[in-house]
Amino acid sequence: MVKGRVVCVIDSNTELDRAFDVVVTEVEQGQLENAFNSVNNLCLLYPQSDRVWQVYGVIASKLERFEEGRRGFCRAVSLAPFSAQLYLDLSQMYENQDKLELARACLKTAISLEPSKQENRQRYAQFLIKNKDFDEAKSVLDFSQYPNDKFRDDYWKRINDFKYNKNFAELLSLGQELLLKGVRDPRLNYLMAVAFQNFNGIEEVITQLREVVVGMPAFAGAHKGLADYLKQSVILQKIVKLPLSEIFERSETKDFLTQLGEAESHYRISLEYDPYEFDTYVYYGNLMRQLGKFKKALKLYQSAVAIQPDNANAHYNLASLYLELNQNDPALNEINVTIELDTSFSEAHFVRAHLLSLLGKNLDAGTCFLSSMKFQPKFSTEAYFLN
Amino acid sequence: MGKFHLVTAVWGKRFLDRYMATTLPTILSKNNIPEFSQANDVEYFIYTTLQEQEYLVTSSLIMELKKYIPLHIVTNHYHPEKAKYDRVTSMYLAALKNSIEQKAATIFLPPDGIWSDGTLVRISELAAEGYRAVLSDGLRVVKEDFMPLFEGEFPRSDSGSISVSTRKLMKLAISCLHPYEASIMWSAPVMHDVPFRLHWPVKGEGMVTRGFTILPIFIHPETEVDGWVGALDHGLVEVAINDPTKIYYCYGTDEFAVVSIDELGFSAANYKATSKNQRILKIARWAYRNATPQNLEAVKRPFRRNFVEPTETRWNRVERISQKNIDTVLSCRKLLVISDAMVDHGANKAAAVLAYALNNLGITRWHKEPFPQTIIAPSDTAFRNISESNLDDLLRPSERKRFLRQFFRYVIVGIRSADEISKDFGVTVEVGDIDVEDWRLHIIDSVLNY
Repeated sequence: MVKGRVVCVIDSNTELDRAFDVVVTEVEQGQLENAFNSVNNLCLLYPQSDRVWQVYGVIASKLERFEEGRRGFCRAVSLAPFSAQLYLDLSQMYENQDKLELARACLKTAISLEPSKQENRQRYAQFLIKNKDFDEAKSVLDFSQYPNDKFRDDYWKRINDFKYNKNFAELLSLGQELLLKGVRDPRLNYLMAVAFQNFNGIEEVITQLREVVVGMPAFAGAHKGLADYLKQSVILQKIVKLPLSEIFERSETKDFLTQLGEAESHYRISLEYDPYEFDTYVYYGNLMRQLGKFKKALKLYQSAVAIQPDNANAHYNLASLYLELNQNDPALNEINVTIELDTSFSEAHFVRAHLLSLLGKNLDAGTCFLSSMKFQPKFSTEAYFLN
Repeated sequence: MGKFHLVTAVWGKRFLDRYMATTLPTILSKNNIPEFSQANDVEYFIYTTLQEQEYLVTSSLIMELKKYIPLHIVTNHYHPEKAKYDRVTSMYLAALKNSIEQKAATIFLPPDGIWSDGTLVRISELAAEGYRAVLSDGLRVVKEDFMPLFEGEFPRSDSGSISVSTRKLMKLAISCLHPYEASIMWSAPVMHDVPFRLHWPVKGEGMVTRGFTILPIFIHPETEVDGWVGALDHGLVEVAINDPTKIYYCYGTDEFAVVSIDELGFSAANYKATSKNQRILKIARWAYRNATPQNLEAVKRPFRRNFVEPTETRWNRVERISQKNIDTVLSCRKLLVISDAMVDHGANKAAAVLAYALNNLGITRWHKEPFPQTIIAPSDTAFRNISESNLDDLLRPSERKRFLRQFFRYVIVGIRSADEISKDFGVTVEVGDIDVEDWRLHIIDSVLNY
């Protein structure tokens, strides 16, 4: 059972905190169901508050509603990926469910975030001893690995200031200096990836995110980001390669399939740690579709629709995939939903036009083509260009 | 002796580094600023921020530049509150106004460009011939691939300048094309969402380019430019130059070459797989939404990027093919404009038939004449005696030949008046003489007898 820590998150007098007071009182009085309903309402009102989702996760876990608890913690982690406590809560929950690999990754991530906190290390060591990994436990408790907190806090404050002020050049300069000094901090790698992203340095982003997923293996967003960039890098390089062969052969070849395999595995891991992230299903689905794995793509797109049934893009993806698979009836259903949700969706009118022409309704198809031309294209699917 | 202002707008480490590594060393080569400044009255204006000013004035390359021409660093036209491209435009606008006031012509030197040796001298020759705008196409290359090769191929002189020959530059650039450029090759399997120029490969020798939007590297406005709000390559020439004969379109990179460097980037989602017909429609649709009359004129001119002596027969062949392809695109664009006009005048069914034929029957393959034509469209009431299922049948791909035979009865080469149509076809014109650019549309009350 996850221990409740509801009280510790309340520290000011905002409207949200007053709402939390009600939840805390209900928890203290043992009215967990009421508390759960209250916090559920707060999640709808404050979907961008990691604290709300954290409390949702804690209370759901106390009620042994582990799926909802996981959802709460996953949302909280996606909003506040550098909060060690969230990973500790998640690890406890996974341990209770005997999902030991996930629990272990969460503990490792928590220690990467707060490497000097002795109680976290002890907790991880206990977990390792329980699972008979004595060497790793010994290494975790090795005091020589504890970094200098003051130094760490100082550079983190500076790096964060650079990020806040969008001074990415300075951020990178300081980051590279710290890495040369041997500093190992996945938070630093993550913010450097963000800075490189600002400079369009796709290969550098990939390098930094690779470090992040090693240090923070339970950070689903980093796995997803890494997979996205691996995939994009392949697409962009392939776009260049083919037409140039008409002028002259390019000698270098890249191992695209290995890179795409790596992307696939990171999407999979990302979903293991956060099965509630809409974008991951869509991008993972796109990759599977691009690789010709249509069944898997279909499943992923369907999951995306289940998570966000009001999202026109999700229905559009599904419709266009059904069309590709020659399943015209479900495709038409999905595209009608898409247009209902967003009448100015140019590409959806285009897909509908194709479907209608396949069904022999050519004049209606023409009207849809006209509608498609009326609106600005706005939705980008990636090039189907990887096979 | 001409009076010229060279203008660069640059800020931020990313572009400042590029400027120092590419633009500044290459414009300092012998046949650029040194030669150009001897024969002309030249001043250089760098529009930047206060922060960047300090860095610039201490640079040894800037010291070198100041040996040849007066340099002004302008910092009071940087507006951080504006969007990135608007910031550039406001700087260029300030520069243009200053040039007009001082009766000087302007040469734009974007900070990510590599300029072949002799570019500025060639521009001054064209200015002396009376041209008021010189338009030339740049080429984007992937910085990560290109820069190491560039630095190896073109060493710096002791003064820091880099002398770049056009053909060597083209060979390097074409081998390191940016995905954007690769995707707008006519034969590419994917195409970027914004296809504002197109390339046709010439095996072993280079490529032909046709661009809707082309960079005005040199401009000497005939009028005030206050009305200009777009990007440098979109709208400025129309505002500044009244006489189209004063616009010079470069014929190719043998004249001079500009290459701009860019990172590989993250925009994979903007590239889509396309079939040939989709590609034509995509470009036509982009042109239909965005192209100005000057853009439509510019795209008719082929631009050669050759890295060896061109084999004329081979290049002429590719240029002819590219002309046919562009004619198809422009014709298709015109049909899109016409379909809009049909809807505006109540001929919705005819517009739907046209849109269907464009997308699914590939009529552009047969309909590629770029000269003025007259289109006759039956109104919605004209279709009252034809059931929708009959129309659906007629539009089946298997019936394409039958459809095309009928379709071309509604397309007449040349401009015809409503009276002529009424007389020749024995129909009543409901709405006649609708001018759609240089084409004409008539809405008639019945379908033509077949």
